[in-house]
Amino acid sequence: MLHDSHVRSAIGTSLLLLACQGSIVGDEPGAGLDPRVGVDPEAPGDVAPPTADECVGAAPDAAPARWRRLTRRQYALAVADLFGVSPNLASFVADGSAGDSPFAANVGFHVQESQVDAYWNVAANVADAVDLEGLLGCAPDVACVRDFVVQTGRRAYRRALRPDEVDRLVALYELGADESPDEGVRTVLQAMMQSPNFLYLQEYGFEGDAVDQPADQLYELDGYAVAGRLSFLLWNTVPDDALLDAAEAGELDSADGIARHAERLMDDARFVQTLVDFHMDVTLASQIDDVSRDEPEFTDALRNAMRAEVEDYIRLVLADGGTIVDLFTTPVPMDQPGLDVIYGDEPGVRRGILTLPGILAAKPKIETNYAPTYRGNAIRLGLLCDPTPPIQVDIVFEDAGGLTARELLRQHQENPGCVVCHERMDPLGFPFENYDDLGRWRTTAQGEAIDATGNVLVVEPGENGEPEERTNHPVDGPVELGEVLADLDQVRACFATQWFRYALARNPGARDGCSMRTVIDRFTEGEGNVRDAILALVQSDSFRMRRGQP
Amino acid sequence: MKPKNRFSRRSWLRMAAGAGAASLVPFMPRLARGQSEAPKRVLVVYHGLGYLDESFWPTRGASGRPNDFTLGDTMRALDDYKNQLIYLDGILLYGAQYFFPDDDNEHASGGNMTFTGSRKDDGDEDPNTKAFSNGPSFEQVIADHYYDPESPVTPFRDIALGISSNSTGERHACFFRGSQQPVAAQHDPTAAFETYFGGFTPADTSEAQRQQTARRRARNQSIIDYVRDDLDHARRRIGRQEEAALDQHLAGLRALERRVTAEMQADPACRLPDAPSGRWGGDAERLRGTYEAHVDVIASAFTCDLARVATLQLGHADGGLTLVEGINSHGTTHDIGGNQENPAGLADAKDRHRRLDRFWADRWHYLLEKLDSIPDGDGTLLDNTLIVWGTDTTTGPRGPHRHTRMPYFLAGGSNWAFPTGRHLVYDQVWGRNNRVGREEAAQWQSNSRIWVSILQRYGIERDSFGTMDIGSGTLPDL
Repeated sequence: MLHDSHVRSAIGTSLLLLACQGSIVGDEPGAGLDPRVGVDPEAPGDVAPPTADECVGAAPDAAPARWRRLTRRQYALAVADLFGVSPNLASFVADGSAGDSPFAANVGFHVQESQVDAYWNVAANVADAVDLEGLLGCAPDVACVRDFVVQTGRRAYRRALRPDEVDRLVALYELGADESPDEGVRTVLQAMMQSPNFLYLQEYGFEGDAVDQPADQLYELDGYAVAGRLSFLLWNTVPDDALLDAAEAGELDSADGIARHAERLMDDARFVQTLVDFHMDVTLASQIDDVSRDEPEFTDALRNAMRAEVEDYIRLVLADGGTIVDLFTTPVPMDQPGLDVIYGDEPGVRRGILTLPGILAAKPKIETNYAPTYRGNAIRLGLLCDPTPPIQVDIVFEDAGGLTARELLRQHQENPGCVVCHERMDPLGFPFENYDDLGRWRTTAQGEAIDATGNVLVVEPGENGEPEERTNHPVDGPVELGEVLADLDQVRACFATQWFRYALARNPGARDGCSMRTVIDRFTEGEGNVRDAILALVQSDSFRMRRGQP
Repeated sequence: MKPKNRFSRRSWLRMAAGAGAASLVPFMPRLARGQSEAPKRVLVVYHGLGYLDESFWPTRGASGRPNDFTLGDTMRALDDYKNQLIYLDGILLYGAQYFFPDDDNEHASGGNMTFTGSRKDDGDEDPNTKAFSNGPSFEQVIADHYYDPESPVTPFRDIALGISSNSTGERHACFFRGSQQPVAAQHDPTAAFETYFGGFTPADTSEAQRQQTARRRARNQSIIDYVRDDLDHARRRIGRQEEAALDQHLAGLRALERRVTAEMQADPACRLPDAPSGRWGGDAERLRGTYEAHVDVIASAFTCDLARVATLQLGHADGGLTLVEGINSHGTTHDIGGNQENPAGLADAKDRHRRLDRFWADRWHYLLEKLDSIPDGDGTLLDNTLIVWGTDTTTGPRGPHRHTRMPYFLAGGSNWAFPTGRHLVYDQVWGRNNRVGREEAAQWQSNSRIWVSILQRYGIERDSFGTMDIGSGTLPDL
């Protein structure tokens, strides 16, 4: 038996379709399948986190964390912040990801020669491009460079440098200065950018020198480690001096102090960009570059306009303290430059992020007749955190051509081998049938009037061997679907899971239960204010603490 | 027609032999070592999603002998090099889900299993990590065999290049150092050039430049030392689970150190290629240029004996590439699956597949011609380089994404590997509806057999290869 994350992450959209398409060749439908095989028992939604009451007075806890390396985005923004140069990362190896997480996360995944090489080359290129006088604010000499190392080194490494670390960097300056003072500074920059203190998050939870990390023990992170977590979560870059000053002064040692500084960081434009990046990833809009379409109007310019619209919409909805309900119901301005070809003279007003062309077109990536399956699966995975079970059947069915997607996919609902999975996907995609594969409004398909009815199926596992609980939420069209999703507890809880993954580069585990509970409760309260929920997250045990690896 | 020598248009720069007397000379020129025999090289080429089988495979001539065959319709571009090819007709990519319903692997796992013969499974319960193949790919075993990091025989252990490969993606990786360790491909030819050739000093370098280079190298050494000290410091604080990651970072640093701190020297006869220029990427216009630049880097690196193993990953099992006239490989295979009962649609999809396959055949021709144009030892680089083509799935009689009769073939390397110019056919046992179930599978030759044959020919004694190997020994007749 493979372990859970493998099974769950083996759910590729390509294989979802492969199993139920083509011609019938007489294989038996998969009778007696257990659709829940392989579901991660630790994932929220499968085992409910403890209730708020159960968490009252519970001992602090957090699951073990992994050593994580900066993502490409974090590296790029940090280098730009520290040295004023945007690095070209074409030679970087692609980021990894954690389990079903839609976000980049470099954990449990080894750096290879080519990436070590890329770090070297990019650091050299950046050092060559830096305005050294402007960066240092003085003519380079030993005293000037020492100041720079103390100041900028603290931001680069997200903690005050030890005296010996300062000395080593100054010594590098002196070595390079044999050639020229500028070369000396460049030597320091190159070393800083390749140090593991810069490239990895230092979440050891303790300072000091020759300390072995006791296994499986819970630590409260020190202020510097909290500052790093906060800034990489909220800004995707290194902390500013104010946050590091706060760490040094002990202001990040309490949940209240963390909240105060998190509020300040969330008032910054960099947090708005984080909101954009996060929602681009959970809706898969960030994959629009990988999409191919036959239509000649699907140009790079159109792609860019689609992406820009999604970004603008997220800003519009969430920049000033928006909610989950806003995200799914706010009217779309439909005035993005370059999207006339999509909107034309479309009647009516679109509402909610899921009706944006950039999201409608992002799935499927390829031309198919099965768009509802892909669109529905994206919602199931990204917004309900309910990955479809791995495929276990090889069933193929009739496509004589000329069928609407709904007719074609009826077989998914009628064949018992297909329905166990596809009831979770296709009916979530049907409400978008009024939009073609570029996200254009249409009223007919294959000559027939569009039927945009669908269903949101929520399946909750039964506890103690009781049968699972199934709830159907029938909807007609994308506006109703958005309204249902906006109010569903499962969607709100999924946002909690996704922000947890985004913040900590791992899936929440059983030990994170009470931390998850506080975040879920904030998301399910009222309309689900996103900032409030993130505040709950950064004050939780899982964020403030770390457990040593076993 | 004798393929023309593409090197003739390039500047021929001799690498500096004996220059910079004060610097370290860790890599002796091959000829200076008194090694007269050319090294054995291996190049493994992967492209995603295979071919349309019905127009890929050769047909045997009237004699019925393995050396009497006509190339498949879409592979005709290789006619010049027919006698350099070996087709392995009848290989099962063992262990894919569609044959064995109780197996958890799905179609895009084929890449994980192709060159490893190992299953996609990390064996632990940590839901935070990805699962990759649980064994190395065969060419990495060869690299480990000839490359000792403490006293390396070549400057680089191996070369890994790709185009839109997502080479470290869970479902798309196909080359592995070991269990759970996908090889990260370099996608940028400019960066690849800098890595493999940046350490060399052209022969016409002035004395002043040489002195500056020597100073830079001393400075580089200090940077490397600084980073290494910090990694050593981190070791005391990270969890045990992370030690392998840290070791890998240190190993990368060691390789980097050799490149940037010491004068690299190579065979005096080898040529420093021009730095590639252009815009790189995976779209149709840039793809050819990127591909050719990658091939040129590999050919030059082999010529200079900078490494003896190279991998080239082109796209992946979910496509990743839009190659010719906007044809997307993954969409095409799906259209073949979706139109089995729709003759017009099926014909159109197959036509698109054939155009993709011809595109690849042209690319393979470029590669063969390139290696064949470079003198090496007593013959050409092609004679000393075994090229292995593999893929994750193919489009067979049951439709796309199949793992039966995998379109694996070899070329070159005849000085050390196998006699070329052959079409080898193995038993292909099909069950009901062209399915291959467990019972039938046992009667096929598995991919592991090929890798055992190659390893043995390289001088590595192995009887089996991979965690899914069901047989033992070599591929018969190869």
